[in-house]
Amino acid sequence: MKKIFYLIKHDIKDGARYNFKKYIFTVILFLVFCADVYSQYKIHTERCNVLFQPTICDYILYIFRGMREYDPNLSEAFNIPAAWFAVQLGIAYFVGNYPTKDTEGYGIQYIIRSGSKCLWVASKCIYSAIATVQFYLIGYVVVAFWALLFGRFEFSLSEDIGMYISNINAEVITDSIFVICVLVLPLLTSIAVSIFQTVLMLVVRPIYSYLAIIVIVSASAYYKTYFLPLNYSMIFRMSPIVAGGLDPYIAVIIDIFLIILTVIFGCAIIRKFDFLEKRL
Amino acid sequence: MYIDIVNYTKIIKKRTVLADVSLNFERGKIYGFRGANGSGKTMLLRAISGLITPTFGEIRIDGEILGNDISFPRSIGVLIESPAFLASYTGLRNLELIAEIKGDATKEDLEKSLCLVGLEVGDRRTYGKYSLGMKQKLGIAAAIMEKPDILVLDEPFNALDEESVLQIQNLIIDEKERGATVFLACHDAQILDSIVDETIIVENGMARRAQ
Repeated sequence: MKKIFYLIKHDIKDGARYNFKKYIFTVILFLVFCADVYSQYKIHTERCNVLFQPTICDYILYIFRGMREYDPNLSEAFNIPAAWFAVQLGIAYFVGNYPTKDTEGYGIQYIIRSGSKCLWVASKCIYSAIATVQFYLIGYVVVAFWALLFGRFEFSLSEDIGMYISNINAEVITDSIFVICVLVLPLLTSIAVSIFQTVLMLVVRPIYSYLAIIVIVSASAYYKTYFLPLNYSMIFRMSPIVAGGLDPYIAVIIDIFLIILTVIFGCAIIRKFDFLEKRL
Repeated sequence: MYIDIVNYTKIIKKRTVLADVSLNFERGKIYGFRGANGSGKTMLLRAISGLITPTFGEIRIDGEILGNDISFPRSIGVLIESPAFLASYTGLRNLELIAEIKGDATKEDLEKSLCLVGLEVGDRRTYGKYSLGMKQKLGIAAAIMEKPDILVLDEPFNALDEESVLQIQNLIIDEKERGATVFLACHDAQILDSIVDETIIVENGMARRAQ
């Protein structure tokens, strides 16, 4: 237990150093989202001559709303929701290839002293989860500051804004639905996907791991199915919000199952697979 | 035997980098590895360290199969490739951070290992400001600080001045007398012959004991 604590401590410190520029990238990314939401609100308020002040939840709802189920029969163009798509790829970029970078130089000292490849992989999975949480925290802090300056520093949904900007009936979003669909599921799903990305990165080159994530993100936007977990990070795919949506409680269970399965699979494959060989 | 390498073959990208290597090693001896660049010396040291897994064959350490029973040797100090540490910390702080994982080395052990390689304990300079020779010495200090049973040193004399070479040679002999099994790769035959108990010749991925 003590070893994994120090391995994680090393990963957080070294990962933070390695990711420093990515913190700035994340801040800029969320500032762009906020500016986009704000400009849309502004157009609406000017047009309707009403005073709308978006809250923290309004911004978050907009960023994680995703898109409704795509129906190719309706002859509408398939447009990936930009904010949601950028968040998913932003997380993949934020988690980055630090785990593979840590298999050389300074990282060798830690690998050998860990005494166990499985323990080392577990610490990298935990690092990925922590990095994902960091990404969300940075995002929420930026949104909160923006709301403080250009809206209302409140943790509630505005019905009019929800309907106009996100096309979501805020009345159906109770507190518990908001917590599970807007706060818990996007984060939990991102953690599951980032752990998958990390384990995959130890087996194939990081670039292929990124490509796999892009495919999963795009496919999740196109198909509404439990088999593509990034569906769970879209509010527009959840049953309390849209008819025929996915059950958020089943999604939580699948996410937890995916996380456990990926870590076990990672440990099992890494015992036999020479993950240090890729860079030779 | 303490360490047995049994028919060890490693193929990377269809290239055989280690070919059917079978060797055995005893405790408390210094084994020197000699060979041309790209002959497989470093790869063999990686194999002993558990940093690569065999395509065929196995390595047993005290009866335990590396990569099967254990991921890495239970007690090992390694200097492979160029040493790399955190640039913004002093040498001692870097050692402290690495030593935290196993918790085997005391602060006195870390300070002693710095002294043994000729680095000053109170030096406030950060690793980023170290010369190449000092970086190499810190790498050696990290390898010996936990008093490992197996010490793997790949070209430890690189970038060292004459006086430091002598100092590290004496240190390696001291490690052997402590009971450590030392694996040493060095391109300088004169240095190698002066301290090793046995020399292993590595050629085209094959290894044999020198006569």
